[in-house]
Amino acid sequence: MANPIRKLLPSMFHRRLLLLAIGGAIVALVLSLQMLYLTTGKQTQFFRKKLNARLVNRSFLPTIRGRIVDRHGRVLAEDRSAYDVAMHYRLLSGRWAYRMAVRAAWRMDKTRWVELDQHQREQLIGQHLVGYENQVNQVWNILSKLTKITRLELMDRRNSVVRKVQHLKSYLWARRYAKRLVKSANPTTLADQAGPVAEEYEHHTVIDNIELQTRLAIQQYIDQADRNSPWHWVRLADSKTRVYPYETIDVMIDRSTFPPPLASTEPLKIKVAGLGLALIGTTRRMWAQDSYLKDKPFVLHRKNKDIAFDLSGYREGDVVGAWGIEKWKEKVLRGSRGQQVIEHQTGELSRTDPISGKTITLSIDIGLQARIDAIMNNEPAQSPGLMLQQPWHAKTPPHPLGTPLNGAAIVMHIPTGEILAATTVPSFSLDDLKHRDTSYWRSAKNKLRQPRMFRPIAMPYAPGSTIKPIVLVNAITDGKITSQETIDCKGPLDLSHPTRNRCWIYKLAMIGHGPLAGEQAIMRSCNVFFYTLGRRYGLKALASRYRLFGLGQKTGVGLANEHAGWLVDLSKKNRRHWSNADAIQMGIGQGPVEWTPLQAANAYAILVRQGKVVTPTFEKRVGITPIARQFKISSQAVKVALAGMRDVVSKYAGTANHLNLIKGKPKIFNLPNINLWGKSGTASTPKTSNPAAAGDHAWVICLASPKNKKRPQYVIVVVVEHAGSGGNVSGPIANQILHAMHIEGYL
Amino acid sequence: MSRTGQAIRTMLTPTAAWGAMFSGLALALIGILTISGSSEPAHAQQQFIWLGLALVATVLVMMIPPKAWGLIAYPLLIGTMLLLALLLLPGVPQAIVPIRNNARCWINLYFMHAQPSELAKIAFILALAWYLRFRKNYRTLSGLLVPFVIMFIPVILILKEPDLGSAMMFVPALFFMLVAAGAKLKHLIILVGLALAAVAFNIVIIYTLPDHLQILKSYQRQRIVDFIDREGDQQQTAMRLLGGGGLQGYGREQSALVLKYNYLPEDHNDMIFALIVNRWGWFGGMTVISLYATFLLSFLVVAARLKDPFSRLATVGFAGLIFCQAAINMAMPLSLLPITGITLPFVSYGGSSLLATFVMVGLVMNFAAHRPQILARPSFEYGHTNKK
Repeated sequence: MANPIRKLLPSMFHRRLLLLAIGGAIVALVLSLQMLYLTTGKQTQFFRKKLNARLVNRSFLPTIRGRIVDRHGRVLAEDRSAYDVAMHYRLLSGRWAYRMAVRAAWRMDKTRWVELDQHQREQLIGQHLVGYENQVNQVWNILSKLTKITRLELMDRRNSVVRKVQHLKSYLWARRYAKRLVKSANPTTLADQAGPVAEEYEHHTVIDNIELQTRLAIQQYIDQADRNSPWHWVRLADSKTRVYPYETIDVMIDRSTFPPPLASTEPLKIKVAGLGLALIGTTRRMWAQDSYLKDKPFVLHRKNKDIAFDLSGYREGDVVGAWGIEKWKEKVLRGSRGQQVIEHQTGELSRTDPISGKTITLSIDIGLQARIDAIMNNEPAQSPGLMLQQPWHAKTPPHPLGTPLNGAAIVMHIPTGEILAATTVPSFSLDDLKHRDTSYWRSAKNKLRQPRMFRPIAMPYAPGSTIKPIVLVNAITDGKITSQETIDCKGPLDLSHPTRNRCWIYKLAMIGHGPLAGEQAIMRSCNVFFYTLGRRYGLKALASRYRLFGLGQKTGVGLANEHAGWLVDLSKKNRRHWSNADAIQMGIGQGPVEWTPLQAANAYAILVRQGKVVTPTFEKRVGITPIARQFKISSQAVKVALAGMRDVVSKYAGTANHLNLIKGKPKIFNLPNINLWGKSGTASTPKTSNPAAAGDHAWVICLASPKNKKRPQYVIVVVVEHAGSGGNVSGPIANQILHAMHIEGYL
Repeated sequence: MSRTGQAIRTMLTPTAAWGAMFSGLALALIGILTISGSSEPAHAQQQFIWLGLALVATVLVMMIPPKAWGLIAYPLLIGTMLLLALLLLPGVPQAIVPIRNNARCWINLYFMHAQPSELAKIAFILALAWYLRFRKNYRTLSGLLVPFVIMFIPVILILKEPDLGSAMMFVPALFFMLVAAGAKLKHLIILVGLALAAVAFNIVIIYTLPDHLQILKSYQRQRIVDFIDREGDQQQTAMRLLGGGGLQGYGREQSALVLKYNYLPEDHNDMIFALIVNRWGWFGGMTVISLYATFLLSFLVVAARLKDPFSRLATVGFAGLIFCQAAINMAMPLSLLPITGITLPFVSYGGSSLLATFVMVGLVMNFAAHRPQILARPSFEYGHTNKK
């Protein structure tokens, strides 16, 4: 090979030049081929798509979240346009003043500037800095005057923004550093990764939701400002605020029908804060690891590295429901973003308007809810007294008189399963959320009070005697007893064991109720009668009957924090040591059974509907109510149970008929012209050394209807924790709820 | 005949160097057109003025006969070294040596910022050619030491500025000259092998050793890592712009629009090749590559026809320097090499670079036109035996 070349080019120098030329040609060929590879086929299409994507300026318009209204169309939550005052980080951090001072100093001494050392420069800058800082101070003073927010508060807000950005910066630096270490094991340092973050180039809200007049005044300052004025860096940001118009309202309470010691002819004004908040919920900003981002992301990365947008999708910082209805109905309330696309190539502008979220109509009547919240207020300063420990609550009240009591109430429309009101005590307000710190929410006191818990659906309690109508109806249906058959109550269930399974009357007066049929047993709430039925059933059969009434399972009301209650689990895994002794206890609502107020209301509604199960709901139903399932209940049994419950409230011997006051025995229920059925319950709680957790849970469950309707239309459940006797504690509360329902037009 | 007359006669003598001159001018005009569509369109006018000055400089260098260039080669190199040292002297005020991008590469001449490293390239090639012209000791491995030392002195000074890109360009020039001069290829292959091993070693160091044990600066390491990981913004954007041009390119207006919304740092300078392909497509890019190939070929033909060893080697050195610089620059947006701060000769914006490259063209035209009438002993002919 070498010889022909040598013959052709005898000169070595020429051969070397040829070698260099060939080398050059190879390099040129490689460059050409690589260029051909990049500029043809899929590669160029991909690059063009990337390049052209930048020729489109896409901005997104925020979605408008749907409204939440009550059953009468009153707005409970909605987005409202608002204006915020936002300032550029440069102004907040003091960098604007410094940069302006540097520029001014440079202009003054332009020619000498390069020769000055750092110290001399700083001295010159310092001379100008004061003036620019005064300009910024002037902005703060004007804002303080216009918005009536103190200068100190504004400085606090400024510091808070700066601190937040600094924290973010250090977090991002650390993350970048860690990422770089993992990705390429590059021997980098944290200082290498230090750099500005996007938030340093953005405006940050310092004052939100300003009034129109203030907005106009600030706008004038901004309009008049030139590029060198600090006002140039102030902006009025169009923002949306979620407002809850009924969150705090005043309610007038008529106390004339209260138990005599609390009654007054003077109405009482009660400020209800946080009305329905535990149910309706609030919104929050999304964080980086939010599940919504994974489930329905705003930016869709396709396989071919393409990017598409789901306008109804989520991205960090979006507003989503935090809990309650806002969270449960997130998909419906969400809506869809709008977008504005400017094609730089053609100058064409296209706009898609945002689609508002849908309106959710709740079954709740916010008027009724407000009245119940007011009735059940337990703040000693303004409470009407029903939720404070009173002398008639028990023979020996478990807590000092005047102690605030906790509890829940729920009102349900039986035919539709719609929940008209659901109150939890204690509750919390938006103000609490904003201003209370974590130590408040975590304090031992709050661990017991649990103000964030929505008790009507989330707190299970032992049912106590309120379960007895359910037991009776089942026993008659299943032939465990006939409607006329009597059981003789001698005090204890077994005379051979006089200290075990005793009737409440035996504990009180060492006597028994004597022979009782079902109706009287309900009226007198005889324990021995229902112990006997429990024993006749046996644990397994009784538990399965309870399950039919929705115990031990979620009702399906939809909210995330619903509790399934507790019912003995007889599956193999959980056999433990259950015996028929537990069935005896379950007959009177003690032992391995607990239900939430909602489950209690649901069970009573099933009883009234004679086995038809309707899923309870917080949403107003449209059209025919769907029947979830149905099972057989003897109509005769229901009749007997309802007759007993009528006697409970109407006959003197009934357990929820009258209060046991020192001076007299006034009737508990005093609303005329209604049909009323009821059952009280005093559920024992485990013995504890904590005095705050001592005392029985007091239940009352009422069924009511206007006089012209024979069948019960509404179920009202009231439970007060660790308070004393069911009828004496919860009875007057249920009575006031009936009055409230009357005022609101239900009875 | 007066010197001017001599120069005019020299210029008008048709030689292969005219091909290089034509290529250079064509490339410079392409550069000006491209700069006019870049993010700094105002620089196009400035570049046009520089081109005029560069052509004047070309004429000026042609007035001095080649032998005189040889005689002043060493003093010129020493003078350039002094200028490079001046850049690094701690006490020099910024008014004279301004700091740009943390680098001290320029001397403020008030009408322009001159880059001594550009002058150093010329001086180095002339000095090396002068040194190698009658020797043959570089055919031994130890004999290669002196040429490398001559190269390392300016390279180290330029690296201290720091300007890795400019410093790098001395290596291909040296290799071109050594290959042409007849240095043994196996020696050169060993040296290239060692250099590649050093590069590989450095990459291993980058990925394994902590910061304080690193040889390269952090931004240089970052560029290498970005190149390997295909992450660097600048390189990725340049590749997108280049690839997006397709076969025929976007055209002037569309290209300017695309560039406006796809910001590419140094688009009128180091990254100008991406703009050329974006505007004129693969055909435009091929035109540029062809012009560089023509340029290389012209210089090599000039070298082949010359008899004077100094002129021969200097011509090959200039060819190697300019062609390799162009090839490396074009390989960056093509994602074949990591980003280093070097310009595309003739095309990129910059007075010093344009002036230096046209001075090289002028020198080669000068050499080509001054072929000695009497045939000298042929140089760099070592036959096919391995005799030294």
